[in-house]
Amino acid sequence: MAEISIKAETLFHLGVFNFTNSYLLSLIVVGIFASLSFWLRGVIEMIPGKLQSLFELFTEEALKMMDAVLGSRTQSERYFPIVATIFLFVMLSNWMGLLPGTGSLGLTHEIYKHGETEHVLIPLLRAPTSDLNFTIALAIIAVFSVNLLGAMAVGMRTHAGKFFNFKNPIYTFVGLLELVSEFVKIISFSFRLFGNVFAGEVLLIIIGFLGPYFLPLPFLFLEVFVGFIQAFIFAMLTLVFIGMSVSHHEVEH
Amino acid sequence: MSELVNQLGIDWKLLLAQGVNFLILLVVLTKFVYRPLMKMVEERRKRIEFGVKAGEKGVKIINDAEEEKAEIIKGANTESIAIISEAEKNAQKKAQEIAHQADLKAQGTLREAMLLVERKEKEEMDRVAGEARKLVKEAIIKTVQLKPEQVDEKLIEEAVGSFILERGA
Repeated sequence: MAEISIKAETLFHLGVFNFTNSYLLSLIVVGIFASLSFWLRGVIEMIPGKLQSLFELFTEEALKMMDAVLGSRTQSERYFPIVATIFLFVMLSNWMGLLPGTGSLGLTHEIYKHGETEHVLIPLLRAPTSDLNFTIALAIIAVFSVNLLGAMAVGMRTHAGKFFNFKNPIYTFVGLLELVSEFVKIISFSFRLFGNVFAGEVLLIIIGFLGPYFLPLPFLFLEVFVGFIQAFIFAMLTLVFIGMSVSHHEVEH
Repeated sequence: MSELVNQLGIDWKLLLAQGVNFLILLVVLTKFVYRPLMKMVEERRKRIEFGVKAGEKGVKIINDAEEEKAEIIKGANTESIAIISEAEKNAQKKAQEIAHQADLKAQGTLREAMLLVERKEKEEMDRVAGEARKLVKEAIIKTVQLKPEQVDEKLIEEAVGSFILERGA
């Protein structure tokens, strides 16, 4: 019987490093994208093939959407890589977690609990997004990038001035709130994604337990959609925060 | 706090590893997908622009050539008409000349023929007149042998003259 665990289960220890199942799937996702990239690099041509067309369509649509937020194509192209990578990585991670076998194939371990021996299945694969380590890492990178790109765009002093302003006590306080909100962003980014995906997995386990075969199907569709939407939200929020931090809005003195 | 972190399974080493994963993906995708793809799209856009411009230019060239062709054909038409009319004129002139010459020749021939006829007639006339004279003379001689005083020279001349007149008419 499957055990619901908030933690990603450790598969084996690599020195002091706990090699977890979500890390394994994360590596697989990176591998898939890396091999696709290497393959695509070789076949990029003036007359696009199917895969290239797909990527071009994605790029074009994403850039159009980014234009609406950032206001110019040059800016969209500059910030496209981080936003697109977040979207692609999160979406494929979410969808990989829905594949048959993920979360259900694994090794049974005997553990001792309250003096009794229990057999617990440790899945081999687990969606990276249903592991807080992944979502927090991604959120930290996103928020860090937002501030770094903002500092690069408007200058270090101006950017720091958003948080540290001692000209007026009110602005000092507002600046402090801004600073706190940056950390809150990390938490909200990571827990939103983790919560959605983890809840989806739990929901699927429970529905599968209650009525196997056809009952989980609509929920699977729902989770596919949620996987897309959460990736979209993560990327879109990053985009909006980047847009806010790189714009030259007036800093009152 | 550490209990919460432990319960949520947060492990800074794993966190770092996941972050590195993401960064690897970011670098790989940027280097091998986004940049080449955008470059290719831009290049294609330029090429399409070039193609469209070249196409417009080609159409213009074709139109110009068509115009030139029409003009040339028009020029050739007028020229050929001029040549034909000139040739017709020349031919007419030549024909007239030939006809004129033929006319002249015919007239000459006719005149010669008439002269010949006239001469022959005259010769005939002379001969006839001579014969008549001889005849008359013989007759007169015969008459004179009978009665020469009775012969009137004037009467003979009158008779011969009326004879010549009769033949000449």
